[in-house]
Amino acid sequence: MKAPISWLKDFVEINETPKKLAEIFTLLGAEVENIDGDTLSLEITPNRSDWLSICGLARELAAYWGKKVVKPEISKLKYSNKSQILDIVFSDKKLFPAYAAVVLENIEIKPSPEYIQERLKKVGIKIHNNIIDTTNYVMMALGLPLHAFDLDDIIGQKMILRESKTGEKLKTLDDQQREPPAGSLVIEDDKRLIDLMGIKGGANSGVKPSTKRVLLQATVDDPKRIRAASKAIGLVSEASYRFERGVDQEMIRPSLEMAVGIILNSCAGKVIEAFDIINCPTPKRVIKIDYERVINLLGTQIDKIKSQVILGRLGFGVDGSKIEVPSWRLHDIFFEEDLIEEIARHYGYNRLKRKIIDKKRAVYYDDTVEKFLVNAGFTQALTYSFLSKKEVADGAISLIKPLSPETAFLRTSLVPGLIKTAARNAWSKEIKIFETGNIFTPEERKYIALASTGELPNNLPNQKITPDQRLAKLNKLRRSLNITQIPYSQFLKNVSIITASYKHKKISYRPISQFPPAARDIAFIVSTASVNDKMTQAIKDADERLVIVELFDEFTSEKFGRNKKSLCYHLVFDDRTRTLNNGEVARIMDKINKMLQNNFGAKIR
Amino acid sequence: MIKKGNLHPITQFMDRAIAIFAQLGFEVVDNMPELEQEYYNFDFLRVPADHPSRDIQDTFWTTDGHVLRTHTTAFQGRYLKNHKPPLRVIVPGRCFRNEATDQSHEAQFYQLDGLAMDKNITMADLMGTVEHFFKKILGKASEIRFVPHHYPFVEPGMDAHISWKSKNRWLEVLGSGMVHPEILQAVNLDPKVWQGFAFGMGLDRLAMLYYGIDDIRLFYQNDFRFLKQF
Repeated sequence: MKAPISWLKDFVEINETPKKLAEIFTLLGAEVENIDGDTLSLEITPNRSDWLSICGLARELAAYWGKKVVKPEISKLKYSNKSQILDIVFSDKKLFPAYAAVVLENIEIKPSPEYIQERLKKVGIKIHNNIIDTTNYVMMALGLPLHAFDLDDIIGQKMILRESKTGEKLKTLDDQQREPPAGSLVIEDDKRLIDLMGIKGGANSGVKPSTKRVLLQATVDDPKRIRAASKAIGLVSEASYRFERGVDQEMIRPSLEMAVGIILNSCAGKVIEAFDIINCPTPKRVIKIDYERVINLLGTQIDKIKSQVILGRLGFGVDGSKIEVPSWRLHDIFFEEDLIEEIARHYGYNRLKRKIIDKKRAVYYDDTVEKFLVNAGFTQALTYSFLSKKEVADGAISLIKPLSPETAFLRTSLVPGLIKTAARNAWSKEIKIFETGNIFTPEERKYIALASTGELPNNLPNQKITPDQRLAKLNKLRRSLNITQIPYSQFLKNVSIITASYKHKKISYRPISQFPPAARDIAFIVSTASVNDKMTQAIKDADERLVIVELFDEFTSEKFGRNKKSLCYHLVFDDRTRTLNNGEVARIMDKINKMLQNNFGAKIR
Repeated sequence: MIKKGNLHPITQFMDRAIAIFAQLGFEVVDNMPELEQEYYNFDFLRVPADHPSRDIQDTFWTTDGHVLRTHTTAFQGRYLKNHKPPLRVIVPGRCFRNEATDQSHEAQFYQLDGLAMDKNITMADLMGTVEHFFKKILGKASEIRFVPHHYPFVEPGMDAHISWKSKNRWLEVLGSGMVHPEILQAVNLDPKVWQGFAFGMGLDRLAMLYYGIDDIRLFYQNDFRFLKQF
């Protein structure tokens, strides 16, 4: 919802900067995502249909500051309870709680006044002409969608408000043929459908350059029916968006009056009649509030008077503990808790007390299986739960609207994911990986799988995946892997787990490249007194492009001499922008060799 | 000698997050299904089929009428069927959203949900506990603010924002609120006797903030150059 501050000022006095105003709205629950000049863009949650209008937002500010809402200058109209010109029939009065309209004659279609065009542009609404723009302007200002018909196109001056039947069609104002589902709310004149109520009017009866007589209509439409129709035909309009969330029935007269005032200022038209038919009066809702409960739920002392002042400023009727809900909040205030949220919101969430929940005995929790495997040299992968049809077993569960054919089925095994991981890291000298996760066979069960270029524990069912096999070929796996997969619960039983210590590391992630890295091994002989960790760190520090430095072997031998050991490292070089060529890698290796020789007296093997 | 492998950064971060709540006596419930019934993912949580709230979550439906859970909050109906307050639980799990993937959106991700119910649990407990969590996991200097927000299953409802200094703005990191009276009533609990708070957070997003990772997809690509940094 876009709200120009200059337009908000029509309804409430504002003395704050746009930035400060944005903060106020956000802290009240209407998050401001963007400020563009004097226009705020707010995120309005589905429960606050009353914030889908400038006056609704202004009303919130007025309540917050304890100021009065400025009621716009509106020309009063005289209403009768039926039309003298039109024959209006309701198939079922319960479906149409309220129908009101004004008939205007002697209309001249022309561009809207400047200020109307400017404001509509700011809130992202297309400009048309003085009549159509007025309906949109009033909708944005007060929240109630209006529709204007060319009265001379309403055949027989008859209007039947009813549910649509299957197969009925209507070309809407945007020139599209629509076939709403049965049960949608429509208006039919003596011959044909002229309005898809609450969503879009018919092209056959809309306002056009030659229009002389206008029927300006205001209705309250059932949210569920509007939503169902809107979804079925795939059309969301500013009007349907508001009706889906519920509109304020008490805005019918002010909306028509504001519209008439604007129209008569723009051309020398005349009001012939105004009528409103109320089939279901605006419901009255009173909720009982327990002021002690406000304190007990929030955990903060807020006295009764303060609560009452807040509710009063928000337009609630306060009579002791009986709170009457204003007409514009009937769609979201139902429970005492809803009232408590209002009090807390305006009191200020960040002024409320905070305390840590009372301590209870600490719970012990550990993922021993995962840590056991990591200490045994395995690296944990987390792969996609989705796979292609070729990678799952028969009877696999499929998605109705997958993101792609590769992700259309739920995995029936962890193995394909590990194969993909192995293939992705083809440059790595060895692969030792595992994953624990849920598979769907089609029952959902937690499994664990290991994959290694080396040996796997022999008390687990082993399987060899070779590059010529289907799954390997599909995922471009070019070397063999030993694989095992069993239910997680079984793993716990079959493998003796020594609770291993594990220290979480806080690191600052170093971005990796999407290009293949270069991998080299280095082996050197050094005194047994040299500390491995120091050498590992020294190698890491030798060049920024070294992303992996892994000590994978250490041993002593007669051949090396006394008090000497041999260390072997996997090194992986990764440049952000490209794959390093052999010459560049050779130069870095040279640098490392020299560093090891000079700092640690190492002999490169 | 055996060289150690690496625990996935999501697992590491999840462990740290869980530990903070476990210290406060929250029990870990990690066996809730990823493939859920519409009832638990939506209807029980007051998100009926014909309501605009359903639009906010892009959902994966299976051909047999189930849904890949869009939030770990789906656990509430199942858990409360068999457990009565006082209780406090922490629920980690993989969730799914049907939206195009990019630097900050993935089709699968991890969430951590929490629920605490007792006779005297208040919104002060919710806000204090959430603040305690963020200060522990992101550092004492983290600033947190609460902003009213709407979730059908809590009332009052709110989001927690942390101050993202480098970008000079606030970042939404958690949704929460007091358990809605209709949900309490649905499991035969009297809202005048029992109160509770609930929260849910996206773990991938927080981990990205913590480690300085700029692309959520890295978590599921499993490139060793990424995994072996942790």
